[in-house]
Amino acid sequence: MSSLILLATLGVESLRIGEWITVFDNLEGPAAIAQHPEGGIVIADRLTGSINRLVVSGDLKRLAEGFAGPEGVAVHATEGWMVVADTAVDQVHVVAADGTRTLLGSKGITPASFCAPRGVAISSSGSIAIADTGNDRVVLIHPDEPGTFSEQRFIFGDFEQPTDVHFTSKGDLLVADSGNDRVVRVDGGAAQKRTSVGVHGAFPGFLDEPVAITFTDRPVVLDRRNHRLQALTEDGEAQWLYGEHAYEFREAGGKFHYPDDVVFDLAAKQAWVLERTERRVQLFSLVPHDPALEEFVPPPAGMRAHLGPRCVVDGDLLLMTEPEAQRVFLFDARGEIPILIGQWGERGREMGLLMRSEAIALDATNQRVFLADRVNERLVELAFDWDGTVGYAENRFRMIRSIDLVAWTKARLPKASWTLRPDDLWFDGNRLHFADARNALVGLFDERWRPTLLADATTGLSAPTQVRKDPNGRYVILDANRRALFVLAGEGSRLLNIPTGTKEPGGFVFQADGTLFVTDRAEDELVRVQADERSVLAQTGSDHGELWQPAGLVIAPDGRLLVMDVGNHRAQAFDPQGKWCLTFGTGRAVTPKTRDLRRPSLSSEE
Amino acid sequence: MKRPLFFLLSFVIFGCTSTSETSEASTAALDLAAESCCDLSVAPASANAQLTDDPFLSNGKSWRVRLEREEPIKMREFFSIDVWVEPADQLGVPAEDVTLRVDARMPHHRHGMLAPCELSQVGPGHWRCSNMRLHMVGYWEFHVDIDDAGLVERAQTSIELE
Repeated sequence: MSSLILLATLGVESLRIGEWITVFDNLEGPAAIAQHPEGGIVIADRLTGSINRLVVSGDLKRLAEGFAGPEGVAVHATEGWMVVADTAVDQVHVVAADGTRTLLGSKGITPASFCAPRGVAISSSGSIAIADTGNDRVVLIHPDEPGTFSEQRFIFGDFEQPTDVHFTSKGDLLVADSGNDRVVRVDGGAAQKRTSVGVHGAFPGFLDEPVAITFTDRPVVLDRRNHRLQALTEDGEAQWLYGEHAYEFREAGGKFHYPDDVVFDLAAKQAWVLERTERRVQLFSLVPHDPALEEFVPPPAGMRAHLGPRCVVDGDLLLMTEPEAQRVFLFDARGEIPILIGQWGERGREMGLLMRSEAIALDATNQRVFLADRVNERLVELAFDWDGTVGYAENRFRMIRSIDLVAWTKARLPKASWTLRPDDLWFDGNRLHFADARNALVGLFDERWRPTLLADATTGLSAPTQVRKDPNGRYVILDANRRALFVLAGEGSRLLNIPTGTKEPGGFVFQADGTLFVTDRAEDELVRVQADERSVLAQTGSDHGELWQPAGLVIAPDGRLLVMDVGNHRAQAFDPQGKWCLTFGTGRAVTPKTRDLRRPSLSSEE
Repeated sequence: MKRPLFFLLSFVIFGCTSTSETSEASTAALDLAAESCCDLSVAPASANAQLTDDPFLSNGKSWRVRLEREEPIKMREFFSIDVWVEPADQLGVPAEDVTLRVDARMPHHRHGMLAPCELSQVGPGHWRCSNMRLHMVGYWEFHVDIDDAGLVERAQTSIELE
């Protein structure tokens, strides 16, 4: 009752998502949105490096440009100045209404620095909050006077990869603590007065990667991996929820596919939801919340395989990962269709459990798998048992050892600013290699887990996310921030650019004859580079043989290309000329012979 | 005596590229671990709910572990097990300066026990894990994770609870 009185006093209306209005899907690389004080939203576009204003009519106007890859933006409600998190170069800028920029900090771990900053927010009094995602903290900066900001910064720790911040009308700070699957409320910005709600799961009130947050009369959380929005009570219960997983690719109409950011424009009674995977923003109406009309529908179970961005082939075996299900899958890759022969993984923080592993490596000869868990900060070594016979077996894996990367980094890489967090692992038949974007390091482990560094920031690396060797034995590195491939030339560790003509390489692999295959996440393409000749083998779409934000790729034992078609939640195989051969996940597989065969419909079975 | 192999933190003291005696000893021990990493016959599974008291090697063969429980395990009844750990290359010498975690899990169901068990050290290289309870019939794995300064090696065995 007291809260109702308070809400009535404040004149805050309880609103929820109403009707779907339209979708804006002509965007290049939308990464974050914020409310524009004059209506509509501003969009941070990480591919064009620009900040644009989008209004309901669909008109798009450029407000600022020249950033490397912004993934966070906020606009002051009355004065019009902006804060932009330029995530790709680990910087945060204040952009005055006249376009003048003030740099608030660059890459680092000191209080004046940032690492992969994402969500930003501006309070009514002009304070700035920054989700310093890579440093697992939130930074609060108060204004001294118009145009200047206090050098004294308030650092709020005890977060795990926080991705968004939002000021309530009362001045409380809300934090989307993504890695902990919770929402934290900091009363009046006072660090010692915190409350939090949220626990991992799929049922109403549970969260699975709360990536963004806004506020009506209560926090509204974008529950990314549950593909929905939830309004949470102080007890952590869902007051209302909205959203349904879009099972058909590019499907809109109010269905979500990994939503990433949300804006509630309470004055215009509009809600905007951004989905990076679909490169779009959907627009909804906001309507008064009526508890009597709420129907809680449990989310559907048994979603299709959400495969990770990397796969690896060694010998006759294929290894893939499903980070959301905390599992690695081992396939027998000798046939036309890879056959699942074993899996390992279970969600949790305890030893031997996984939270999020995307970096995987395979040593088929010694029957070992290596994986890095970026949330639990562990490097795990598994053994598996396979004698070449066909078929799935339980208990094929067991964990050999797990390395605490926090302790390891302190002991082995004392000069590293951050705990080693491999974005890629690769076993070359002799040594396990790693690429760590946050530390800008590429290196390898010896048999005693001691590192040898191959390249770092002094070499010109910014954010390495894949390392392999070309047929000549030279290291080739994919740098996600510089969006290019580089070959490491000799002892001097010079980086030489490999021209691929791709806008945003997502992965690469070399054929034995030196032919290079690269995926382009921005253009949804599979590209073949042979000497000076560049050919596009597969293009954008969701049909068989088409790609959507493709990432890693490998060459199968029979010479086909296996591509992780991340945006379509599947893997596909192509021959070296680009002819589509196979679509598969962890369950159903489709080949050119079977693509036109239809399953009996449920109605006909009835 | 603690096995020098996994003293990660010792490298803080001696330096990462030290060629000290400790480092040489570590080399030999790690080579052993690397060579033996894929022998999956080290942890026998019991066909019933009786834990075997035969010692077995950890999955990386760095440690020898023995679990002891006299009575068969019954579903939904609390029980305790005694755990002995010694370095594989110094049999008879209790493990020192390591921490243990003991757990029981059903990997096919992707869950563990309903509540964590309680672990206490009762002597050199000897721990007792109490308040364990298996709440379902089926295949259970017992995991003993031996944490040596941040490098954790797992020893495991299993039972089929009927």
